[in-house]
Amino acid sequence: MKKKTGPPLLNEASFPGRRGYLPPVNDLPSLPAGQLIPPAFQRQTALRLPELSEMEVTRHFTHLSQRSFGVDQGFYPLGSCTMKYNPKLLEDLPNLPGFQDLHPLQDETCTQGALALLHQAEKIFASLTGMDAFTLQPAAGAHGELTGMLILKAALLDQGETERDTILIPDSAHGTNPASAALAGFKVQKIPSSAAGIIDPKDLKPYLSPQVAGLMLTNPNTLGLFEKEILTITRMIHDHGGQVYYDGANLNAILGWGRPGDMGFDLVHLNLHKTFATPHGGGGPGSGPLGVKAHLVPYLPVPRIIQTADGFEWSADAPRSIGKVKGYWGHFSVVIKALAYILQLGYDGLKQVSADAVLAANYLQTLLKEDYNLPYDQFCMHEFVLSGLKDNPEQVRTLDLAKGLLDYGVHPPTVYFPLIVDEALMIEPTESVTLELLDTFVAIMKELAKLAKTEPQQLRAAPSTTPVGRLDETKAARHPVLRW
Amino acid sequence: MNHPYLPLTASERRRMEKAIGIQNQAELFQAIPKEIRDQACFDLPARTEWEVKKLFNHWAELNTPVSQFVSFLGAGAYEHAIPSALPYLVNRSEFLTAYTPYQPELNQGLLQAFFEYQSLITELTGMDVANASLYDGPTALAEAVLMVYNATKKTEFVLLSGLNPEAEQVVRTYTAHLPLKIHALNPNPADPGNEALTRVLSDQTAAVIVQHPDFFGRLTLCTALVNQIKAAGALTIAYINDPISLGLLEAPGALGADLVVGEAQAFGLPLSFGGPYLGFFAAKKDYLRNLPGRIVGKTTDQNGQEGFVLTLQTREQHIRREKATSNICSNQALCAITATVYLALLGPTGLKEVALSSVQNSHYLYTELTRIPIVQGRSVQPFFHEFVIALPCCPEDLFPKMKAQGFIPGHKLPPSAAFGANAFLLYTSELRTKAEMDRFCEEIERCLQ
Repeated sequence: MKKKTGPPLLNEASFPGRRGYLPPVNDLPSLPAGQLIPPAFQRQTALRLPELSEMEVTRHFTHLSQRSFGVDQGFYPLGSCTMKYNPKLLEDLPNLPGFQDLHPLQDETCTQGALALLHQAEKIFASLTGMDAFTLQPAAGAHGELTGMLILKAALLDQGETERDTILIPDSAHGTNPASAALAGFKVQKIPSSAAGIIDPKDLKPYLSPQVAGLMLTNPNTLGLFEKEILTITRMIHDHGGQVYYDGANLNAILGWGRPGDMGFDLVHLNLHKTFATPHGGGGPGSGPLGVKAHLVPYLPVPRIIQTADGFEWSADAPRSIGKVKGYWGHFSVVIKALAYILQLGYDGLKQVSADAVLAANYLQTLLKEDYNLPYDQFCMHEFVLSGLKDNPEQVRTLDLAKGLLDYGVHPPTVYFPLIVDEALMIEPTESVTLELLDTFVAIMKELAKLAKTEPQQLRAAPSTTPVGRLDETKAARHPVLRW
Repeated sequence: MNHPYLPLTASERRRMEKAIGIQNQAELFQAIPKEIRDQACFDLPARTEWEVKKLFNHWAELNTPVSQFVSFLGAGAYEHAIPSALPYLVNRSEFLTAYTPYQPELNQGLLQAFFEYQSLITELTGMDVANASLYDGPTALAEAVLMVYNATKKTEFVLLSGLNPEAEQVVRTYTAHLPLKIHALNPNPADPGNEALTRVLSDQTAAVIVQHPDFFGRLTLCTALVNQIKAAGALTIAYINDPISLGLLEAPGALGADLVVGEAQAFGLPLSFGGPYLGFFAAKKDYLRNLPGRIVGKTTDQNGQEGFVLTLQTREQHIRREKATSNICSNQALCAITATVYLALLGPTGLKEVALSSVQNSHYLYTELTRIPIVQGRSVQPFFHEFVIALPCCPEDLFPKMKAQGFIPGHKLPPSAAFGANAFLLYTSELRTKAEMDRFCEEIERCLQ
């Protein structure tokens, strides 16, 4: 029998006859299922769901939660993910009955408050990014990207420019960018980053073929560097007849300091779960609103909220719309949380958010570059990328350093991304830090650098304090066991 | 500026600036071109927590949610009782504030919960494998269509009548640029689609999408239908909009379905004006390496101890980029935990009871409503917890009157050959009581006179 320290699986804990909940009982004369559902449709296969009491279910999931690690448990400098603090107020608001019990198909006389709130969110997102209109339908950042790419595709078709079938994407981009472009039917052309880690207009020029439909760009990019030639880049793409898409994953760097719309971007998605403090939930739900400039507004998903003399209503009157990208109107409760966060900070507060996030990243970069390689040595924005240890006679890898951090109660940075940096460690402290925390992290990273020379085996065997040790991912993929 | 969400104080900022070698924070933004830097100030005052609460309370009070009515509105989003234990467990901050478990050693709890979720979905659907969630039912169906198209290269899809219009619209948006032919069959209450289906099936048919129970509440998926689809060489994609039904209905896998996808909002997620909900995706094992989204698998650590990891990642965007099976990065992780907790609390008995209670209510209400001489039943047996009736007058006239009496009568249907001009769709959850339904029938009769 294999050793196991965690709670048993739900099915292993099951005991026949136990119950965790009594549903409301209806008071009708009881009709057996057999009289309501013909035999051809009735379940014959046994329904093997676990049977547990409420207390057992509570202990089970409490135990699982204790074997999980969120922002509330400790430092989470996971680059590109903006693991900032998730304010508790945000959790209260969606639970108000006026929000939580609202059915998406109720008529507009019942939903004026929700529509007013969503309309307000659209307007604020537009002001913050310098765009003309927003849709709140996309469920996540990648979904916003797909929506943007489908809009671009529809606009090209409309203009009869179907030969434009290629999207330019820098080699430092998130994997979702090429995946989203491909999902919308585009070819992907990779653009090399310059030695300075950004796009050099000179390098871009040779790629401007007649097939180019647009460019997807994260700014600051995934190296944490601002594309300082951005005005030239967007002009070049526009002069060439293309559109420029802004991946909002790194918007936390520039709130109030510079708007994608002013930089010349035509489409922008936001990650409410990054920039606007809605919790990541172990991987979702996120929310990825998409903003566009006026010339692309006709293609936005339907329905759109419009304001009339009588209040707000849904309008599906948009013949050039790409249609719906999601059931109903988007992740309503996530939008509530993001809007509450924005309203609490106000414009000046948001600007300070970015100022502190960038300050914290530069502070760490300054202190860590003594022991770690910094391939792009300049001021960074909200994150920076290290390339393994400087003095590394034992050739300790980034993976070992990351696993070593686990033993100090710190969630490791993003590792081995972006792909253009060897042994990458991508560090994003966010603004949710104190100076003591940053100094503690620096001290831990310096200790790891020392251990890499003195006790490399200890790092290679790390982690030693977590519930399980390093797991065999190759075995998991070769012999998939995906259910009990 | 000192704010509860900005822990750095002015003196800390000064010390950090000094360490970096700058005079002030603005110097760090020099890379932003001067002509666009700091240009976009707009009026947005900061508010205290109390002020924000008041504002959102105000917005919430401008709404009249279904909980303030006796509601018969379903049509794809279903009001069900949510056990009190559920939000306490799901919203534990270790789950709530975690990222996708890229570091498995630190997140065995999350990973085990997702593994349990996958197991429960496969158990309910009768499939071999399930992913760890997608955004919602409609996008899960769109992903299923794309997956089948990529796997089979066949270009025709049939949407059997009675597919949730939300799902159909999303499928069409996702596939608009592809050379696909999508046959949407019209609803016909007398024929769940089989005759019309025969006419459109061809050797180019990649798959037939069968919602079960369908948008109008009808039971559709049975062995005969699946065999008919199989005989044409096509796959069957079952779309389940309220998987509580699977407490009573045969697992689609046992009926021969190849993929089972759908919307699991009913498993403990509040209506929340349409989201976030929970898309589930399950398939036969042949499609294991074509699945979209995150998947959790079991493995062992260096000491032979069991543990869980994200697996089969070579399908995914962060590795395969433009060749990935999907662009999914975020999914609905916390909603998947919600479904897991819901099913753990209800167990097989509870799930069957909720399903049966909903069905008993729908049949009672259908019988009582159609006793009213001018109300016409538009459903035929067998139906589940939704059905269609038609009125002599336009529902536009009836609905406001019923609302004033505390009822939401259901979802108005657009005029169609199948259901006529004045039809609407009613849903009965396990929450409805005999007294409520009797009063509803009385009020309808009174309003129609």
